[in-house]
Amino acid sequence: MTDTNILPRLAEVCRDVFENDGLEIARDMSAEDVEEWDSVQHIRLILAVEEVFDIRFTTSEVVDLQVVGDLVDSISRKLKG
Amino acid sequence: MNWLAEPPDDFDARCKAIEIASNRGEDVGLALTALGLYRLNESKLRRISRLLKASPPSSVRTISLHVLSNATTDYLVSSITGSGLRYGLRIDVGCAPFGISFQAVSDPDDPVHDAGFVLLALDHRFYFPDFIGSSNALERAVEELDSLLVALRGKGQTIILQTVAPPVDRLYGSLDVVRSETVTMLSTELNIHIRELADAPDIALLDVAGLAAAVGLEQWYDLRAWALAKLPFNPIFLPRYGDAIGRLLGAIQGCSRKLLVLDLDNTLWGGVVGDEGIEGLRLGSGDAEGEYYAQVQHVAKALNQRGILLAVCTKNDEAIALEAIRSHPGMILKEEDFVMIVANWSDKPSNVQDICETLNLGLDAVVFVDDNPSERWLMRKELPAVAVIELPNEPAELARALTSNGFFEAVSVSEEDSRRAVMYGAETKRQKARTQMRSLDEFLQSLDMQITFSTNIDVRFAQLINKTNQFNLTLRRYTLVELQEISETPGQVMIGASLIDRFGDHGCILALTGHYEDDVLLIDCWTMSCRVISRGVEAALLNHLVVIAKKVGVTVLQGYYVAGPRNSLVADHYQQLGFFEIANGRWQLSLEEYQPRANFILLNDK
Repeated sequence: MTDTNILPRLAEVCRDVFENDGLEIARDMSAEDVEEWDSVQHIRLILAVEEVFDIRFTTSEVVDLQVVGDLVDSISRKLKG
Repeated sequence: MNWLAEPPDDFDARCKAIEIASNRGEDVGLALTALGLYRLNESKLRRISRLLKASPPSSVRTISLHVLSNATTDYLVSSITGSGLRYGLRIDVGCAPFGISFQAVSDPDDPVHDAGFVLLALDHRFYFPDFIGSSNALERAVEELDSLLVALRGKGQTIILQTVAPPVDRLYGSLDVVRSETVTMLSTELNIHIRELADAPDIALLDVAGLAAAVGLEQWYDLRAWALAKLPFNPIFLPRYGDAIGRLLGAIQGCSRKLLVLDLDNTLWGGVVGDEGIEGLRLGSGDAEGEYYAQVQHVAKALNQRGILLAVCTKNDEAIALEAIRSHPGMILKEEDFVMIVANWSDKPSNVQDICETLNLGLDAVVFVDDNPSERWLMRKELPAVAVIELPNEPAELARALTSNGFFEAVSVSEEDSRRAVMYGAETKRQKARTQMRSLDEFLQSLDMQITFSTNIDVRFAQLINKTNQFNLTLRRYTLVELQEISETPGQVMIGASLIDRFGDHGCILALTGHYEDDVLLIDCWTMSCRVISRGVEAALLNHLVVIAKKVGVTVLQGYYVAGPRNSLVADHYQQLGFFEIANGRWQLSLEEYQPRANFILLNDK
């Protein structure tokens, strides 16, 4: 799966988790930009991404994720891994 | 949770349709509960719980639950609410933010005391924070729990206590279950204490230890989830945990199902009897497949013995089906174990509907089991209130599907439960007698009915209040604890009754509650078992009530009717008993000129 495929699927997960049907995401977006993106939702997002992409992040990956782009890269690495 | 079907492809569309319908003011209760019957992950559970919150359908019973936990509860809430729908409930969940002190519960104004139910979601990390317990670790844990209970109990709430799953980590190995200082052993000991506490009527038990064992402790615990989010267990089990709470609360509220409708071919035996003949069927020992089906029958038999009604719904020629049931040597279930056997070629939803009408049961009392995916699909589509068990292709797992689903969850065992099958059997005989009589009066007289009134508030009394949907004037629901509490306040009237006739004992068949207001006796609840409708029990009860009322100087009886989804049966109840409507739905009977109403029931006043 290429990065361009990951982003739309990730957007779907985000809309689902943040309960915001109109949410659009971009690589440089961070928790600051999304009102619903708090620490509880962050964990939810991680768990949902793990379920949808069938991967598992390490603790440091979860903690270090800053922007959507990090998440996309991380997913991409794991899927290739 | 593979006893539930994968969510349908149109899940999203159905959610949107529900949203639109509820915005239009329609009651979306059935549509929502139907979605709840699928195997939903956390995000889908959250979706339906959001829909439920946005527009609470009046057809779904609402209860409130407060969660107290040593872990974070944010993640539990929607799984609990979403799963509650599966068991016919709207569970409003409240919880304190993570890290709040447990001292808060000793404050009588704390919001924890506003909820009908309190869940103590505590795991071994709360009771035994150290890897190895000190010498008084168990006493301290017991003290901690008991002091919480002291602050919580006696306020009319039901407390749900969790058993404690042991940790997966061992210190010595097998020796851990011998050494009393290990958390494995401490958890076991604490669970014994918790089990004893659960004997009290205001405490219910949630067997989390059993749940964790069922999925496997190594799977259950997730240190990453605990460290990152203070999630008490692996989040993939959130739906499973929510389901466990949903089924428990459903059972407490009397929403558990009552009837198991079974297919025959490839469900109760291997093979198709119409094609392969009785000799060709796989059932019983000597054959792996035969053993699986025997196990299915053993499970169904055990369910039947604890009060779950069984019926057959099969596409077969009746003669062939009956012959196989009667004569196959491997049959564990006997013809008389089934309250009905429906073998024909009509579509199954119609047959299930007929079965429910005959037995006076709602469709939401039915669990449907059929190996044929298209029959299951059709049933879900036509009768969304019916719980359809998803069956694996491997018959080895059939029996498990019957034992792991929560639709028959019970929180207490009443004597009536185990006698239910017998009572329904007697009902079939009664109906036969009825057809042989010339008039209804003659039939009623021939029954030799005897009624015994009592003021005993027990499990069965609460069941009648909570489970009766049809013959129920006001649809008020009370837990057993609440009822016992109310019964102790002065000015309250509570009457139960049991009925015997020449075909058998009906057990307790009615529950009435009321209270005095000056010289008026106001009837708050009047529920009756549908088994005894049209027998004159209403008249006998009213006569009895009038005697009681007159003794204390009451001159007027008042009662009211609140229309609900299924109680139109009793819309004219008070009118038929000679009451006059004084306001919309409110009825009054003056006792001055009251003449006892005729009936054929003998009063047993011993």
